[in-house]
Amino acid sequence: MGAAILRKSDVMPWVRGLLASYRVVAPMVEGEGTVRYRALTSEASVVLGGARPLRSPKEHFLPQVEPLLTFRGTGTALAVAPPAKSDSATVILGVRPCDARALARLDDVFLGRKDTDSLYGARRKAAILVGLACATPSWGCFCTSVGGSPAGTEGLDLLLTDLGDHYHVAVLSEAGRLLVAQTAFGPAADADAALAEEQHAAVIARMPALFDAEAVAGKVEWEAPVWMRHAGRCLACGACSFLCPTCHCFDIQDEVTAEGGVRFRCWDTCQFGEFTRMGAGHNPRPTQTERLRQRVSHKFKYLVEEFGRMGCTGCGRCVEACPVNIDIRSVLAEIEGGGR
Amino acid sequence: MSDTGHLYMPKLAVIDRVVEETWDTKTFRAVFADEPLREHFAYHPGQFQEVSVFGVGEATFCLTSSPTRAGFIEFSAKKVGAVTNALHDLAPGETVGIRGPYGNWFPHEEIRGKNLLFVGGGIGMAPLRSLLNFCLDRRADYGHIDIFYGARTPGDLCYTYEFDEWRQAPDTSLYLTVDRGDERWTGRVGVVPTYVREIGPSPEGAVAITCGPPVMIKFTLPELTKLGFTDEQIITTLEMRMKCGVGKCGRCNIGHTYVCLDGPVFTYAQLRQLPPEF
Repeated sequence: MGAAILRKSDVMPWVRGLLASYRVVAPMVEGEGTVRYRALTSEASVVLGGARPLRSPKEHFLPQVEPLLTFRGTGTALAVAPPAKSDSATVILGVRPCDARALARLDDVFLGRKDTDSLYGARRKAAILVGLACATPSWGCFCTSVGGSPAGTEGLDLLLTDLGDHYHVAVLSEAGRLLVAQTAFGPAADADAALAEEQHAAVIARMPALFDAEAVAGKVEWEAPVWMRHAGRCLACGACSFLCPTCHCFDIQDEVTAEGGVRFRCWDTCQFGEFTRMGAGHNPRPTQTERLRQRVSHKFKYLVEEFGRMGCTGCGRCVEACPVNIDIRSVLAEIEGGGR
Repeated sequence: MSDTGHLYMPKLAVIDRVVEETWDTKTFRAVFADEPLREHFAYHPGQFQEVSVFGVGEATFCLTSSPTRAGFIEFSAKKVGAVTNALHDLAPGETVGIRGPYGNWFPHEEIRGKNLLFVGGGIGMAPLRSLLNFCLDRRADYGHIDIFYGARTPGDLCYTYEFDEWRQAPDTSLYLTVDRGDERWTGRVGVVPTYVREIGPSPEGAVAITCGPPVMIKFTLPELTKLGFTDEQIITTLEMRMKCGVGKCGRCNIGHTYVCLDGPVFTYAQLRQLPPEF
């Protein structure tokens, strides 16, 4: 759908202009240098570029904690109210291709699997995603092994590629076209497109595929030593799931307040023992071995069977965050190699 | 769905009757606050719902009432956790939240004209009771009905107040047994699978519908097989921990099958296709 360029000196004026019509979410520096996607408050802390942020923008579609309803009163006077709407038009800046691809996986669950989750759907519909091609993949990154690319465009409205003093801006949707129809953007020359492509190719060349993910689905076995071999040292901390851009499991809990109470959903993970433990005590997944098997099989086998695409986009956050170095890339390579 | 509604918004219902089934199990009758919903809440035997005690949380219960008896719904709860304990503390007049009905159901249309063999254990009778009363209310649609029901002790049998109705229904037999009797129990003592073997119901034109503790299921299935029931003729309903009930929260899957969407009712033939994780 065409292309444009955006001078780096024009980025903040453009963003300021966006704020008139949109909520803007951008990667911002927090304490200790952590970068997270936050609603824009201070221009100074916006970071485009560098390593991918600690968390994906998932939390803007599936918040870590989200009120589902409030209640007050008792008996026949009990009243329940839905939460305030959170569907204002939002532009998310600096979205990495792996994280944008991940949203299609969340869509499968929240919009595609039987009934529609309107809370998720409203935020999804209201979001415009401005991508940023990865120039500096992190050490855990493996997007090219799972069908992605550091310059992938799936799910994005625009894709920015850093060309020094300006960005090459690939326009990928009508929503994206409307965003670049502003004075901040200039026309892209053929040379800009060529430079962007050159950069993409160079980054891809540094990320050879580590395994054949398509082949993994057919090789995932129920009883296999690979599960115990890796799960034996798992601490059940859940960091892999909480940082994962496609993990979507949640819990629903009530909290009592002075006025009544609130029911909320919050992220949960199949890595916790409580996750599947039933009221009377039976747990179909009693140890970390069954829980690792669930997490890996879900992403690379069950979702493939259900939706025809795997539930992993190779962002590598689980690899880097695991305190005991459980590396899903090794698990997958062993499965693919028949090491079971 | 209304503008303010979403998948997780419950409907309010008032508890209007509480029956003490056993020392740890109660059956709650709930009436929807919304009058049209009260009369037109449509469900099938075997479906489940999420019931909430506001301030404590939600839990999953099968509907134990039959849709042939409209105006209210019933569910039975054994005291095992926070929500069930809070439910047990509720008196008539209190309000709960109901989401549902969810899941698939016993194939009451497909099994029309067939002989029915119910095999229930303990609180596992809850979903079977819904189908049983449904079939008894449409008695002409079904063949002979055998009901095997067992519990650990006489005091652990639920729905005892309906036993006479079941016994007296036309062409219907009720076989009760307990693992351990007491001074007042004059009935049979022994486990359910052995009783089924002794009576030996014919698989001819029949389906078996079973629900109970894993140990009962484990020993009942081989007995049914020996009697000649095929895996397709055996229907059961699974219990899994659930939160959303609508295929989003991600905890009731067995392989790529979601018990809340594809179940909870499965034939034994279907269960054999799933990974052994339930």
